[in-house]
Amino acid sequence: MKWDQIMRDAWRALFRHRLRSFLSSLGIVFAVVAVVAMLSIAEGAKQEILDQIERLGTNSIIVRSLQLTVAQEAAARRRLSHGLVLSDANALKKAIPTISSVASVKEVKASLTISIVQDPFEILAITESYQVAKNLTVKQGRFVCNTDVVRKNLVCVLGEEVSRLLGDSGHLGGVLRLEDRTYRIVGILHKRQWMRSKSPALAVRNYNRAIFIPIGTEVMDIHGQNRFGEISEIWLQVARNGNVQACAEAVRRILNRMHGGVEDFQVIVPQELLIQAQKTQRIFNIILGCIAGISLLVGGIGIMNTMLASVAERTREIGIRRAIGAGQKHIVVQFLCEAIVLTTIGGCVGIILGAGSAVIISKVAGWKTVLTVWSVVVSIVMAGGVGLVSGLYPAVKAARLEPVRALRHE
Amino acid sequence: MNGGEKIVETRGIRKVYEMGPNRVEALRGLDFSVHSGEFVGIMGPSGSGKSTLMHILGCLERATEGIYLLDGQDISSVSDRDLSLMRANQIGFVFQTFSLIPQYNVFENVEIPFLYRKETRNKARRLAEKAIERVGLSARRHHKPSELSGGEMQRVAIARALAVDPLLILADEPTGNLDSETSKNIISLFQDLNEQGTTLIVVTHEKEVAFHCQTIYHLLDGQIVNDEGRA
Repeated sequence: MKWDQIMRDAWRALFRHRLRSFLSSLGIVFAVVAVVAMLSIAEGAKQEILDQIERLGTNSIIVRSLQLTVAQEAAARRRLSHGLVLSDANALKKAIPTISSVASVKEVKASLTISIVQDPFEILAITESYQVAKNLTVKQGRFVCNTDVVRKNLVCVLGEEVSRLLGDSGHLGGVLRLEDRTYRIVGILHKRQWMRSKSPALAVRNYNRAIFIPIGTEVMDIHGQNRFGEISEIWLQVARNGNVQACAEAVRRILNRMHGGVEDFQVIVPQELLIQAQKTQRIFNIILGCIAGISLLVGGIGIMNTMLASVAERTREIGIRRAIGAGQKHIVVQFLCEAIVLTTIGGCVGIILGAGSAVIISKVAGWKTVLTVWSVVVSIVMAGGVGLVSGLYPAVKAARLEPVRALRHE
Repeated sequence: MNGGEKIVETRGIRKVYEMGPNRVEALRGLDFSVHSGEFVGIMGPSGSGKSTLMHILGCLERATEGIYLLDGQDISSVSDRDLSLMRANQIGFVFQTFSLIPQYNVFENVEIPFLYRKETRNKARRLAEKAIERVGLSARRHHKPSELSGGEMQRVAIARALAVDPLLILADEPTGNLDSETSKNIISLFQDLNEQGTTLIVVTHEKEVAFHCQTIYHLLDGQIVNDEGRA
């Protein structure tokens, strides 16, 4: 086999009928565009979820307080539940030995006296362990410590963006007025990568725009609420040897008992979310595979049709080639190569357009898209495979033509 | 001039075509031989079996009965693959309608047979160039068939047949589509090739062509009715 000549001949045969070749390869082009774009979206979504879950920590359990209606709150009070409280966090730590650390946080609804930005900063009343839990690194000064919490020191730590936006008043040693209280700035954090999440369960705070104060120093509202030490979130870290699922079950059970069966909290287990995300991803992949399969089938039928037409109109050429020594194998290879070249070129064009579509989708819809080498290889192999399958019947048909009949064909 | 060794020999060749309920007997027990270096003409009216004989001799189809020895090898029952190899290595075809591939230029048309043989690319190029030179078309090697005259196209077909240095060249009405002047040139080219040792079998109904053959077989209803030796 002289492959360079065979490929050259295949290219020429296709180029000779370029409009027909172009039109018949469109099916493959669109199929590959769909495959590449969908694989890019799927991969982007997968990476985004994995990133977010990783940021939440696969070894962690998050308990979030749920907002109740007035009626629900009244019912909860009757059952002696005051929502998620600091004592819940302490009880969990004591009751579950596999929990290695607990961090509590309360979202404080207070405004900065000198608010220079439209989008308000997030004020978080936290315990010391929150720094380790969320892997917050201090650029200047220090983080909120246990002494601050115990003594209710009016100190605060600023996120990088807060410090930057506050300008002169956002420096270490400066002061910040939250409602009627003055907090001394004792630390500024390093900048952190942050991405908005589509899923509320996976929402990660933007710590660059957060102000951290010791829990218990936050301003109470006029009704003096928070007398029970209500908090917004408890972050639990499970020890390496601990079973996250079993631990989460224990957390649910203990909190249910402590809250008198009132569901005023939500337990989020990133590991469960990860499993759920993988299941969803699998379903998405099956649907995607079906769509791609149907598209490629349609594209393949187009290619087969073109190749059959090509065999019919080149019957005499087949006869000439057979007369001058071509065996059936040579004819099969020749027509198969044409089909594969046609679909592979279609596949390459499809990959370029698909990658372009992924970029456009990413810009317009704001979805993360990732084009992997794997998806490019899969697309090329699929396109070539469609060429092979759809070209096989016409190629065999061509090879089985009797030389004498083929030569007589006009 | 039957001095060379026998390269083609048929014994009792019969060819029957089954067309539904009808049976057409194209060849009826043909005994026929060609020696190396011979220039043989096969003549006969339409339907006499000339083309069928040509196809069997050219390994394009098999006889229904009888023995066909090509260069001493019985090819009556060889496989399709072996028939292809025979055509690639031992036979050169020249057809009435030239049978060139329109999208290829002269050189590429002459080079095609090497696609199905084992020669290296360089050797194939060299042999193709040599064959084109022998038929006097070197200056037109890059022209497409559509840019050539009928005579030139037939010379390309002859070059293609010659390029692989076959055991014999089979020509089916090689001058059938040419004017008289061009026909003379083609016949003259055949004569030159024959003088250089090429064995030729030409199917024709033109007396001018037959005149140059050393042996002429007349076919009628699938049988040889007489043969004339001229040499």
